[in-house]
Amino acid sequence: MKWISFLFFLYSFQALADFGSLGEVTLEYRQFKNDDISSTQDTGIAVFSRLESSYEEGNYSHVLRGFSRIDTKEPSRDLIWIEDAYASYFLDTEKLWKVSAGYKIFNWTALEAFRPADSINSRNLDAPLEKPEKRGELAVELEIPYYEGALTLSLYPRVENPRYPGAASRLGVGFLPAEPLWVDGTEAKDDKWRPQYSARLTQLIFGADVSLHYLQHYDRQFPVVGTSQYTFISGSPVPINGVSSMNVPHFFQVTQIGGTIQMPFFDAWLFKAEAANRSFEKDLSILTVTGFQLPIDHTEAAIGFEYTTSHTDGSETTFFFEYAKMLGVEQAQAERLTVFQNDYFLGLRHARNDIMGTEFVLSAIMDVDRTHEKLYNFQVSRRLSDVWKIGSTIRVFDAPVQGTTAQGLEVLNEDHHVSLFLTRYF
Amino acid sequence: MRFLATLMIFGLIQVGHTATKQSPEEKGTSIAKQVRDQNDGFIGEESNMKMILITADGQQVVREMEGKVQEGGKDGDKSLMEFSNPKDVKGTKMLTWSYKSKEDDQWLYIPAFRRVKRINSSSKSSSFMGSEFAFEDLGSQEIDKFNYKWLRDEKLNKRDVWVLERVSKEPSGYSKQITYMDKKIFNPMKVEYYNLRGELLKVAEFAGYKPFKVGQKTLYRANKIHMKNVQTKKESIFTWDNRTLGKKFTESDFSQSRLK
Repeated sequence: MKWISFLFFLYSFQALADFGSLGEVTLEYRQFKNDDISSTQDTGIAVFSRLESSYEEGNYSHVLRGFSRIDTKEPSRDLIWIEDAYASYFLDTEKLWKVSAGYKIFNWTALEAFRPADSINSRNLDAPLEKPEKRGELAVELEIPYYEGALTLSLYPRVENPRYPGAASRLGVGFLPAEPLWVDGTEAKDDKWRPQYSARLTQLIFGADVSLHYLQHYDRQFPVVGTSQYTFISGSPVPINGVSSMNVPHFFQVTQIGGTIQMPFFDAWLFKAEAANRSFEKDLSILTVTGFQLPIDHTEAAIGFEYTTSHTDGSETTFFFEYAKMLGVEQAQAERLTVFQNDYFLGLRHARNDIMGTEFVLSAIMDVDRTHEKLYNFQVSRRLSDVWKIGSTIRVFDAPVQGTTAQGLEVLNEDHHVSLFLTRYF
Repeated sequence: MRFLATLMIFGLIQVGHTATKQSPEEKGTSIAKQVRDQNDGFIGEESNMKMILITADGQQVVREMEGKVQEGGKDGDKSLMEFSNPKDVKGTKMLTWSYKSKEDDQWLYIPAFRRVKRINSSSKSSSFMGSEFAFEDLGSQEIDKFNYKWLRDEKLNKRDVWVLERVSKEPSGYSKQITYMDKKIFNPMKVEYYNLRGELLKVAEFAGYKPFKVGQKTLYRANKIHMKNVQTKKESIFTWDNRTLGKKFTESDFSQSRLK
């Protein structure tokens, strides 16, 4: 009879607990405009899978989530990543103070297109722009409630490598970077166990959502690609392991101070702003193909507005405007840091709010300095049933090369492509 | 998602006492206040909700949600709704802090991106999940946000009702609503919605009222709202299961950090 008691115990346990699960399998297809280069892959056919489970009982909860992609045409896109694998526990009966530990996805952004404050997780840079793919970061957190918000103290003991597009990817730079190195003082190492930490305060102030953060970590967005292993011959720097060794991304320690604000106004409007100031440790110069380089201190700022209007048929349309600029740097430095160094984003999202959830998104990103650089995007998606969804994206890169070497968005000029997806949820 | 509060309380309009020489507007407002007072005191409410969407040609689709509401005292209620079906929006949560005399604060949690997004509460006339319910049908029904007018007393399905007109003071997708308020249980039996051209657009019928004892009070909640769009012939039916009133939540149950 013991097993019956055990089953009854399990049943009772489940009855008290809250268990959830969700899975999806997506067939992804993308077709680029033919570039007549045999070494690049113009077609991608992939299967993307994501699994998630969550459990909550009393003060305890945990979440497990991860995804994989297998591309039949371009194996460098294959990956399996953990997104979340953490447990949380409320320290008090009021469920106010919370500790959590494990791998976690963070999202600190307030804007849609430009995300200066969202810096924690490493990313897959070959992912669709509209669906950023992040890698879970190992973290131990303490969340302390404070007025109408919270103070969150976090310790991140380990860094994770970002994923770059492969050599054959049309969204890459023509070569696959080597495994990254993490710069610690005057040394560049591949050891991933490195303490990082942050403090983030969120508050609701006069109807506005405000967040401020202090982050001390290893940057993942602004690598210096080159080598730290070099010698001097006849006064000129020469990589010890040859020119081919100069494809190593070096990530430096950075102190980031920033914040976000989101504030509704005039009934249908939403104002958003986001900024991050980054000061790097600069004790090691990296030999790059353009000479010695160090990371560049900078401030990245963005503002945005959203306006939503409803229609008599129950549908709604939202208009987006966002502007982002690199501050505190020369224009050439800003262009080295990011392709969106002085850009604006215009977007329109129309949700039909019908049974199938049909949505259209039309958007464009334009460069203010480099006016020939434009990125256009059109998306449509709808459900086929409660468990099937289909969609498509058309992306146009209009950035003709102006000089002898492609710069900024010019690298992706004419990498126009169409993507299709078909998802089955379970 | 100020809608949750109303989904669960829906009719918060009240019946006036036998005040003498009241104008129709004064009497309507008096009734609305009485309905509000009669429905106050639920403390907290939790339920599972199902919405059946019926197309003009009879096809049916089901949407499922779980909801919690915390009664607000001097301020408005706080509510949290989590969607569980269809699967592509499973885990999406909407948190609303309603206020009696200003725009509600609303946040949407998008699980795919682990993101809490602030949303403005302007999309009142937008369809709720493709249904014939608009957000404003289900949202905060604070009486200060409407002008009321008593029209007449009459019988509806053999029950005595007050017929009230109410007009939103804020931008709305309706020119007016006509509410048939049951005199005995202080809850609506029917609501007619008129579009901005003044034409009848939709009719909501309330059914399956059940009494809930909370402290010394008996509160009534409809277990079913059947909304019919008389222009498109589409219909939506909202039903409730496992409803609990008098539930005590903590403040943190309705905090932004609990969305994640």
